[in-house]
Amino acid sequence: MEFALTIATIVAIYCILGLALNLQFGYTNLPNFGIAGFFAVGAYTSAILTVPHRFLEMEIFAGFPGGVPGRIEAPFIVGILAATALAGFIAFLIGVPVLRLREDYLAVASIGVAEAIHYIALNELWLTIGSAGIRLIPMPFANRILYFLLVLLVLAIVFYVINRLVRSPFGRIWRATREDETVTASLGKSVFRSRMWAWVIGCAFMGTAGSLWAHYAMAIQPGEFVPTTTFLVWIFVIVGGLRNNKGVLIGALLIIGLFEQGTRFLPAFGAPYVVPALRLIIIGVMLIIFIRFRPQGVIPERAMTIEKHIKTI
Amino acid sequence: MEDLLSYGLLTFASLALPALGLCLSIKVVKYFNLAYGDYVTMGAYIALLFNLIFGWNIVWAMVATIVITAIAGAAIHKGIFKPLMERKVGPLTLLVVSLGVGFVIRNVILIAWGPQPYQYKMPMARAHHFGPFFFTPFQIFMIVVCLAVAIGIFLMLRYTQLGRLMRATSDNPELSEIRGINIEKVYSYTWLIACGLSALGGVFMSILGTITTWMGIGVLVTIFACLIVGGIENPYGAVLGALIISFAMEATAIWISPPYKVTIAYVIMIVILLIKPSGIFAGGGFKWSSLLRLQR
Amino acid sequence: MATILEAKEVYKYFGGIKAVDGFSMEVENKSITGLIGPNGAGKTTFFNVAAGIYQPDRGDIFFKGEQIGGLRPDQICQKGLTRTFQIARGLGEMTVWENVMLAPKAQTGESPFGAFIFKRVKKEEKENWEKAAALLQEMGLYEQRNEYAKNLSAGQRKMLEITRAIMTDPEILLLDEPTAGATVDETKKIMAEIERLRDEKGLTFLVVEHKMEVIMNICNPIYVMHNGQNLAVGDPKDIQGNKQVREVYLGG
Repeated sequence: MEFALTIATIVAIYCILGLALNLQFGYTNLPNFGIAGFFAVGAYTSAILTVPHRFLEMEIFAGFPGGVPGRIEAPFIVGILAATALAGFIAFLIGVPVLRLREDYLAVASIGVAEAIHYIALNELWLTIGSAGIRLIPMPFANRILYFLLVLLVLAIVFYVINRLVRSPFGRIWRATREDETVTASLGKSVFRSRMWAWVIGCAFMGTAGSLWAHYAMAIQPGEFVPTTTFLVWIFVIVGGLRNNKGVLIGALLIIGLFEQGTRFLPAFGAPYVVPALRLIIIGVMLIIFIRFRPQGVIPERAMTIEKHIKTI
Repeated sequence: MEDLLSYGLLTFASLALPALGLCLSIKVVKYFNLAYGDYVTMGAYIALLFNLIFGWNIVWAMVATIVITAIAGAAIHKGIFKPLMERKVGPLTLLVVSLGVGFVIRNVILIAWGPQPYQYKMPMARAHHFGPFFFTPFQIFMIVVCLAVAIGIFLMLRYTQLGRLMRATSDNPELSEIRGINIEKVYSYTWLIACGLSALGGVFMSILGTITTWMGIGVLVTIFACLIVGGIENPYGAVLGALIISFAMEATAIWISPPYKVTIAYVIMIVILLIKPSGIFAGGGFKWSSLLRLQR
Repeated sequence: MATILEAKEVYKYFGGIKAVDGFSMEVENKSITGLIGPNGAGKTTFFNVAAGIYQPDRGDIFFKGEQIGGLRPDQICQKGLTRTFQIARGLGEMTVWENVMLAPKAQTGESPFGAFIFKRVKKEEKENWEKAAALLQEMGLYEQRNEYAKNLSAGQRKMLEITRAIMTDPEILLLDEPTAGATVDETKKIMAEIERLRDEKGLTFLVVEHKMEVIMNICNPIYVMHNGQNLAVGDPKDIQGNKQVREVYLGG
């Protein structure tokens, strides 16, 4: 029961990341390979704002000169909102130069963003305490079941918002940009504006997910926000079905729930790094096979009829 | 200042060739391989195998590594990317696939070698002053090899049949195919060269620092910054970009803080993108549109 | 009649290629103006300059007396000038109805916040669809409304593109070979549609076309472009009788 709850919470948080990536890559063709970076921004923002003063005292006691964490003691709601806003704002700043790049170069640039954020988390001790990370992050309700329900609620909100946006006239511009930006511009729509919004909204939700993760794990370290996280999100979005939000949820359940987390309870062998590495190898091969033989994923994009659209918009 | 000159030049010797290799692969084969950083790692570990396990001299280990990595890289292209390219999938799909390839390589290396950092077995050598520089003889060898290989590649591109074919394919793949160039062969040769360069760079980097399984990501970001600075599809620009980035990185390490070496490369890249997105050495045949999305 | 679009000595070079080399033209309001010329004459480049996809190297383009040379394509479209493309560029992975519903200007739901003003979005979507459905019916595309655009035939895609352009509610439409790839029947339909839109809605057209029967039947005046420059201008009879034009077309 306990581990089912653990897996469910982790899957729900990954679902938010997946939905955000689907918004960026599936609907707007923005390959964001810096997911871990925005996830980290959210986690650290929320942690720094909410961690209790007790943590700072412990750090000072341990010989650390003290820093920002533990001085603010803001409530969770402030943490999560600030995490979302800051992740979105950083995305905006980076987006100004980077969104002008062609898609494949944008991908590498976004990896660079995540690396830079990782280095900051590792080295700006006054802000992040460095490699030891921040501990004692409070969990709302101090109850794992209630917290899981809270995560589900946030997931539902994110799912609703993204679905609504994708279906609205605004989302049509996103998808048109994905298909052909010259045509989209010639129809009077600003391509840059539409891409920027997709970039900012997606990254902001990644920040939300980061905040949820920090308050769930109650301790975060720079070592968690590495390209592996980004990679896992990519793989389940592609397996589940790019451009289909329900597919993303199913992909997260399969890859993160069943495979990545579920196999933690199988007997381990070899050195402690062997099994996780094997898992990633299998996932990597799976990604290559899926793109080769079923690029549309488990559940492909579905078109809506105009009749249904008018009724339900 | 002496430190900056010496370290800057050494970093350049390790960055220039991978940057040139990545540049050639993008220019000719037209997809971006995110696993390229992991090809560099692969080179470093293959050399480690020969050097540490088989006890070879590092120079011979390097030669063997270049051959093996080049073949491996070309084989990955043939086995994984070529079938996808034949089905006319977009460059973004290839990019995502390359992400998977990178993860497989990285984790295979992790299982084989474990997470601890390694260093090559090399005889200790004394550094000597050479004018404003301070080098060991082997470091001089590295710099000479780097420059010789880079110049060799430039000459190859300019004067040999293969170089001409590579440039033709780069300019217009469709037309080249119609004119009877076997572009698949050109692609294979390009990957052989690109991966040979990555191996050489990997060995040089590892001689200067330590070898870790995750070094590839930092390398990829850094050499990408070199390419942006030099103007993405410009081989000369790639090498000059590497020179600028190397010195900027070492200056950061000396005067700001060593961990921010990679970050500074990234900051320079962002600045270049903001002020002159075509790269500072772009000129001649460089097309803006190849870098930017809209024609204007 | 008033001039709606005016190009004055427009230049656009690509490296050494003089794509548009001092071309000038005037399009009168509610006319169907033709633009012809041999392949590579610079017609499409001129369209791209007028629609803002390229910036002119030199020269002015006035739309209703306002300089538009150098504006972004989306800004030019917002002012009332919409273009179509030579090879129909349907947004393939979107349905026909999504293609046409994309086009209307100033939709409330076009911003992330506007998308949540439910009542207004619903009302606008209904209104826009009524308009779009009527147009699709006239174009004979109504049955295909729920198809993906990529599944249409070449001629149907041309029709879709024109429909979509009209949905932006333009004052002038720049059509780049509107009948390329269309069957004989479809060509007739497109021609009739262009004339109807001009007569009923007062739209202005600038048409690039290779099919002489289209140009000679519906366009007046006709501009002839050669090597990026003006060669001739006049009504269909003048052009057919013009010696230089014949030389350019027949002599290569």
